Amino acid sequence: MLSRLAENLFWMGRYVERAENTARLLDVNYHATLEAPKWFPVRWEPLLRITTSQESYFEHFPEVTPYSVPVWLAIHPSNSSSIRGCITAARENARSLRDQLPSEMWESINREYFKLGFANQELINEDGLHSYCITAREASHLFFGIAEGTLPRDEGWLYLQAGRTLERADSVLRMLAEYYQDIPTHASHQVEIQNHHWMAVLKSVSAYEAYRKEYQSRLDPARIAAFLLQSHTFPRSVLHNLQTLKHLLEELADITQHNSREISRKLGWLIAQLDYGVPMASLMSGDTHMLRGMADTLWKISDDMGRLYFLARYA
Amino acid sequence: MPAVSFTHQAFNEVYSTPDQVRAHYHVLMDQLSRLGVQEFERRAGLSDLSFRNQGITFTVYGDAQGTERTIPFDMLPRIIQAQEWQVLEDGLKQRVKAINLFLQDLYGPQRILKDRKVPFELIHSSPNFRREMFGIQVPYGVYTHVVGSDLIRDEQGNYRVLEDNLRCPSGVSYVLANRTAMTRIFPRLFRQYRVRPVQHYTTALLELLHSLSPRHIEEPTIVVLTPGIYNSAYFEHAFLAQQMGVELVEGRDLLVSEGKVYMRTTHGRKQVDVIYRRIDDDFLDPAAFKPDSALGVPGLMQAVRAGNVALANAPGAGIADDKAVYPYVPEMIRYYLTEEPILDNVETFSGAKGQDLMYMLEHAQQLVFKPVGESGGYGMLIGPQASKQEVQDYLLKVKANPRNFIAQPTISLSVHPSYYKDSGTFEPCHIDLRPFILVGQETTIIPGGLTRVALKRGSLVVNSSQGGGSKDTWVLEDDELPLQHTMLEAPVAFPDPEDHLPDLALEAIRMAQEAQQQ
Repeated sequence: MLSRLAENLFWMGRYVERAENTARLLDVNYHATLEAPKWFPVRWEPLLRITTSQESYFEHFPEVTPYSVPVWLAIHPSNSSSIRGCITAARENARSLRDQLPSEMWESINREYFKLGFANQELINEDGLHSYCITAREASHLFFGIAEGTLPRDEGWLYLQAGRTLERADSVLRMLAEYYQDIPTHASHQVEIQNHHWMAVLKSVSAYEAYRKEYQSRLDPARIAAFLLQSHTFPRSVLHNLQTLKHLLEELADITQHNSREISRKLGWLIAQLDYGVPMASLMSGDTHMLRGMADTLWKISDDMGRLYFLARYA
Repeated sequence: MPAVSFTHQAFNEVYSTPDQVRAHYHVLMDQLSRLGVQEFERRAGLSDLSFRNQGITFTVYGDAQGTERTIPFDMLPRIIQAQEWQVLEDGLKQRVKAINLFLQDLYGPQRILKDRKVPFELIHSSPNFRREMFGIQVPYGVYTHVVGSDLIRDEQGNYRVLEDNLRCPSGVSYVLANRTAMTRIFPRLFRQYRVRPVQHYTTALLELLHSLSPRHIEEPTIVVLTPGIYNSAYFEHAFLAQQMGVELVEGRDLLVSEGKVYMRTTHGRKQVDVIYRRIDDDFLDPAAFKPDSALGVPGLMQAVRAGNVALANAPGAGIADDKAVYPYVPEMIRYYLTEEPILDNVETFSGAKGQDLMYMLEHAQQLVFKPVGESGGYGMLIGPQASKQEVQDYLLKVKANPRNFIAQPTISLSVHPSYYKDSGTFEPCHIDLRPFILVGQETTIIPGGLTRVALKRGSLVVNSSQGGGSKDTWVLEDDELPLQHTMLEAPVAFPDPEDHLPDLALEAIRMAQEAQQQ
C-alpha cells in the first residue's frame, strides 16, 4: 500500500474519532451548565486543556465564556481540532483515498461533511449545539460502522483502526489527567457537587451506564479512574484500546516485515503499568504525572509509526 | 409535462418544427409528459442529492467560494440514432488514426513538414512540441491513447469537429455517472428504448493500458497519476483508478531510480510499468520540463526514454491539438490515409497566416476568437456578444501575438430542450458532444459520449467551468422506433395493504397518520 495512503487512513481514523470525542465532551459540559445549581462552578477551561487548544484559543478570544468555548470547539474556523475541522480534515483524507475506500464509506463522510462543515455561529444562537454534537457522534459511528461492514481486513483496515484506538486512548488519558488534577473539594454541597462532576466525567466517555452496571454503588472517584483506565470490557477504557492497538501493530509488523520492536516495547510498558502499576492513592491526591507521561508516550508511538510506515519511503 | 420553447436560429435535436417531435424522441417526450411537473422535479431532486452525496464534483478555480460543485445534470437525455452514430464513429476513427500518424511523423522523419503540407514554423514555435520525444519509440506508434474530440452540429444539423483533446481529456466519468443516474431515475424508458451500453469503458481503458506495458509480465503495475485532490478533475481520476482497480498516485508517491519508475509503499518500492497520467506535460518531470513544478516526478522522462515505462498519453501529443494546428487535420487525413475526411472541421482562421489575420481583424465582430494554448473556455472573445470596446481591447492582444490566436465564424450550436426549475419549462440550450476514443492496437469508442449543455440562458459556452451542465447521451441499438407502450406499463393489480394486515399493525399505521396530521 502507498505510504501516503497508509498515513491518510491512520489520520482519518484519528480525526473522525477526535470529532466524536470532542462532541461528547462538549455536549455533556454544555448540558451540565444548564442543569447545574447556581453554586455549581461549571468550568470550560478544562475542555480547552483536554483538547490541547488553549493557546490558540486565547489568540482569538480574550476570556473563557460559556458561549465562546463551544463555538471554538465545535465550529471555529481557526481551530483545526474543532469538530468541524476534524470532519473537514477526515473528508479531505477520504477524498485522497477515494479509489481505495468502499464508496459507502466515502459517501457517508462526504454527507456528514455537508451537514457539519458549514455551520456558523447561528448554531449556538439557535440552540443547535446539541443536535450538532449528536450528528458528529453519529457520523463517527456510521463511518466506522460502514468500515466494519465493508472495508477489507487488509493493511488499510489496520491503519484506520490503529488511528482510531490510539486517538481514543489518548483522549481518555488527557481527560482523566485534567479532571483528577483538581478534584472538587468544596465544603458545602460536597456530595452534590461530586456527583454532578463525576457523572459528567463518565458521560463524557459514554461510560455512565456501563459504570453503573459494574458498580452499583455511589460515584467513587477511585473506582471511576480504575474503570476508565483498566476495564477489560469497556470499549473506551485506556487499557482496552492499548491492547487493541498492540494487536493491530503486531499484525502490521507481520504484514510489512518491519522491525517495530521499539513500538512494541513502549506499548507493552504502558499496558503493564495500567494492569499493575496505577498508584491510585497519589492519583486521588491530584498527582496526574503518570497519566500525562502515558499520554506523552502515546504521542511518541504515533511518531514512531509515522517514521516506520509513512515517512520511511525507501527514497 | 413542462412546456417546451422553440428557437429557429439553431438546429433543434428534438423538434423538427415547433410542434413536431422527431420520430425517435416520440416515446421519450410522451413518457415525460405523463410524469407531470411535480413528479419530474421530485426525480430531479433525487438525482441532485445523489450526485452531491457521492461527491461527483469538479473544482472551479479562482471561484470566490473555492468549492467543488456538482455538474448540473439535465435529465432530458439526448438520443442519437444508430446510423447517425456509425458515421461519427467512422469519422472519429479516421481522424485519430491520421493524428497519430502525424505525431509519429513529427517525432520522426517529419515528412509532412518537408513536403510543406504543414508549415515548419508552426510546429517549431509551439510550446506543445516536445523535442524530448524526438526519436522515442512508443508502443504501436500511438501517442494519444485517450482522445476526447468535441463535436458540434451546425445550423443545418451537420456534425463538425470543433477541437480534438489529445492530452488529458476529462469528462468520461460523467458519462458513466450520468448513465447510472438515468437508469435509476427512468428505468422504464431504458426498457422501451434499446440504448447501447457505456459501462465497459473502464475495462477497455484498463486493457489498453495493460497492452502498453514495456515489461511483458502477467500483471504489470498500472497507475493513474493525478495532480491531487485540488485538481478540477480529481473526482474523475479517483473514479477511473477505482473502477480499474489500480493505484491512484501523486508525483510524490513515485521516484525514478536507474531509469525505472517505482512507487513508495509501506512494503518498500514497487516498479511501475504504465502511467495513465492526468498531469500536463509541463508538470510531468521537473528535470525535463518546468523545473519549479512539484507535481511531477524528477527523472520520469529519462525512464520513458529508456523504454522502462509507458505514458498514456505520450508527452508531446499536445502539438496536434494546438488550436493553430487543428486547421491542418483534414490535410493530414488526405496526406497519410489518402482519404477524404468524413467529418468536417469548423472553418478556422489562423493568426499565423497573414491573409487570415487580415480577415480576423476586419471581421472581429462576427467571429469567435480563441487563444491557441487555453482550454476550458477561458480567454475567448465572442464577437457578436462583445461590445466595441471589448473587441478593440481584445484585438490589441491578437496584434501583439497573432500566432497565439485563431478565429472561427460563430456557429449556432444545435439546441436541445433542458429543464429550468425557475420557469418550470423545457427551454432550448446549446449543446455539444465529446465522444471518448481509446487508441491502442485497436480503436474503441464507447457509444455516445458526454453531451455538454450551455445552461446559462443564451450562452454558447458549454464548459463546466463556465456554468455548463451535462446530460446522458443515448446511442440507439438500431433505428427501429421504440414501442409506444410496452407490456410493462400495463397496470398490475396491487392488493390494498389494509386487507392483509393484522389489527395491531393497522392501529400503528393509523396512529402514525394521526400524529403526522397534528
